[in-house]
Amino acid sequence: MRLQPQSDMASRTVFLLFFVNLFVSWVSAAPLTSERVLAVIEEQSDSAKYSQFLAGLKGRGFDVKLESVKKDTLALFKHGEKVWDHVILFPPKFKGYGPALTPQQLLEFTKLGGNVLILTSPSSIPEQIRELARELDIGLPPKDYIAVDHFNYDTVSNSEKHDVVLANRPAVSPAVHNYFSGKQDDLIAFRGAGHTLGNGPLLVPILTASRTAYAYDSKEDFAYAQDPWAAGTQMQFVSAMQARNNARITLVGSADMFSDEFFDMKVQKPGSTESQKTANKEFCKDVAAWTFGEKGIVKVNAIRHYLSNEPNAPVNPNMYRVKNDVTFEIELSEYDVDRWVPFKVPSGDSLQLEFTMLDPYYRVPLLPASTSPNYTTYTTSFKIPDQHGVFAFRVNYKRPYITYVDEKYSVTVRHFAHDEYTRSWDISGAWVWIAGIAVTITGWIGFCALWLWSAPAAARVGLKKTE
Amino acid sequence: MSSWTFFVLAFSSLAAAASGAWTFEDAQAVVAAKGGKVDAYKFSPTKPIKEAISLGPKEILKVSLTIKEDSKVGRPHQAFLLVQEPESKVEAFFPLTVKELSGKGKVDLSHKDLPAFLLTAPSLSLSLVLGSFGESAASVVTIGNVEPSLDPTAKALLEKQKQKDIGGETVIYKAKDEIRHIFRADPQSPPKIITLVFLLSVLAGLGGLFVVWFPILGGNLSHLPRALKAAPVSHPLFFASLLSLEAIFFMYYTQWNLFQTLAGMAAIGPVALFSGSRALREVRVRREKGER
Repeated sequence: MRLQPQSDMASRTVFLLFFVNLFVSWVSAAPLTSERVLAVIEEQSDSAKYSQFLAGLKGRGFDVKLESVKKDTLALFKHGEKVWDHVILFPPKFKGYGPALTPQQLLEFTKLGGNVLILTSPSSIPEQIRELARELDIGLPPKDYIAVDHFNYDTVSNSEKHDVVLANRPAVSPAVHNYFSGKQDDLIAFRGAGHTLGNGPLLVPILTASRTAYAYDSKEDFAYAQDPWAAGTQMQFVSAMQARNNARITLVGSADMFSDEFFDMKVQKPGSTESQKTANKEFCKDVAAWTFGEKGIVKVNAIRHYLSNEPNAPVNPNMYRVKNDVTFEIELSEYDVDRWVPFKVPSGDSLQLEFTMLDPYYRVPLLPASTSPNYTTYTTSFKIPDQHGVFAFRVNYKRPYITYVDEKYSVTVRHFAHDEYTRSWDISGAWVWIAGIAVTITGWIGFCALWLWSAPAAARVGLKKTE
Repeated sequence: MSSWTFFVLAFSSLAAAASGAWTFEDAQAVVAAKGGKVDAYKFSPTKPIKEAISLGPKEILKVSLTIKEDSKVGRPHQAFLLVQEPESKVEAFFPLTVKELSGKGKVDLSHKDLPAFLLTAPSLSLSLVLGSFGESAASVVTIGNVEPSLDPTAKALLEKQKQKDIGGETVIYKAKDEIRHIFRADPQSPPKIITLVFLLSVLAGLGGLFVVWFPILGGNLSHLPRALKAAPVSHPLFFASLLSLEAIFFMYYTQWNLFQTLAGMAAIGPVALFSGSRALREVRVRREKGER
């Protein structure tokens, strides 16, 4: 997606945000046909193997260019700018990808917002990909380790070797937007190697092995798996890293699953009576669509905050007073292949607003208030804390599979002004003091009247005369 | 269930039986301690161990069995003991060593084999998974539960290790706990009854003052007509300006700002000054006449 370079939303003022939004809306008005995809493949003729997948990409408006690994002029950058928006790496027959596709170059490419889809096959995982995987904290198995599953394999294509593993679509979770769940009874055929993931939050599994799957050395362990490399649900078939700038790198353990052969394959699980068509075509489309930013892109349309109880309160003022009642609104859209649709927070998840000064004083859920054709408005109201200082409204919504939303907008929170406190007559404890003042004044007026107009009492007159 | 589906099911299970399945027999789990104390538990594919197996820090759980492909002994490609933490479904696997000819497989499990995450769990479920290439059906069988017993110091250490393993400090992208600010308590007034008692006592002070002035000390206003005659403008004006000054203070207290107050003072002040000097001059005249 074009908007990814702008999507590094770590520290942005709202002014800049609006500017970017203008830019984004201009970009999304343009067709997606300018999306430049570099597909690196050993021989042009090999591309016939993946023709359906590549044709699908082209059909969705991507400008796919096939290049050979061996081509000298192959480059990701020109004058420091990236020449491609997305890269697909098909597994090479030889040892590596050549000098244009080193791990450093690929990481530089993602730093500029480029997306990378890496397809590997157990027999050829080049050292460059291993190095890249190490950087991303993805563990790749040694050469020729393949994943098998004696419970979920295809009995049609190869009932002896069990190497075509049939995986179900990832389960739908109530807490995350999973763009890969699809139809739950779909079967995805996979022939290749599994990998393991580190603990980082940027890494997300896409297709996970089942409990009974394991990876073994297909060249050594003929008799039995004495020391399998990985097994069970800790092993992943497809996983991805979404960098902080929202660039995506997806690693697929099997290049075959993108091939025409697997797209058209009819498979049958052991014990089942009828064969069914694989869902590889749909699943691989989902994987590519997500990786290349057709899905899971969330943008902030607008942010508004204002005083809750005043109908004509200014929007987005710079200053609030302690204990003001404030309403905060945020409009979120999600990109869905070719248009912006309202973003929905999953039922098990919560979009949260923080009101922070160093630490959050509030972290409250934002709830959907209204939906338009393009966006959902989420809103919440709260009372500003009784602490003055520079606070920030912050929406830090980072979730697996979607681009990161991190909006921060600071406001000053001031004390009560001298004329905003409760008046003294409303405070019952002050009545005694007010009465004291009233008594003093009345006494003073009375004294003045006496001084001016009082005739001496008779006894006093006598006294004065003797002086 | 219709007879047709029943037939299909029966047929398919027959077919599965015909193509063979991986199973085991003569299975037992033995907890061996250093001191020689041995607890043995027998189990079979259909009968898991009912009671929970307690596994102490110095003890070893030895699982041994004979693996069969249908009726004849064999060695499957996959023979793992799976140890699962039932709540999170996190699972570790332990491959069995299997003899090809006899089909005898065994695996040892002790505290040091288990990762901290599993070891700190109250209960772990054990399953056996057997599967291999070819037609024979693979099987996964639950064989029982293990309860690792830990002493408190080891447990504390393991908890730390567990946090490290699951990336304790690394962020997890998910909703965080809600926070609501707790406001300081509002200032409190004393009970109204106390306020009213003191209010009355203050007002009583004023009443007392007037009582002392008028009935006791003989204060009066009998010179008023004379004063008005001698200085008909100054006296009312001076007294009115005194009242106005207090009224200005009252307005300042209730709604005016300082500038309005100063303007009022500037207007009333000279009036009070000049009328006051005339009025007080008249008072002096009366005193000099000996009338006060």
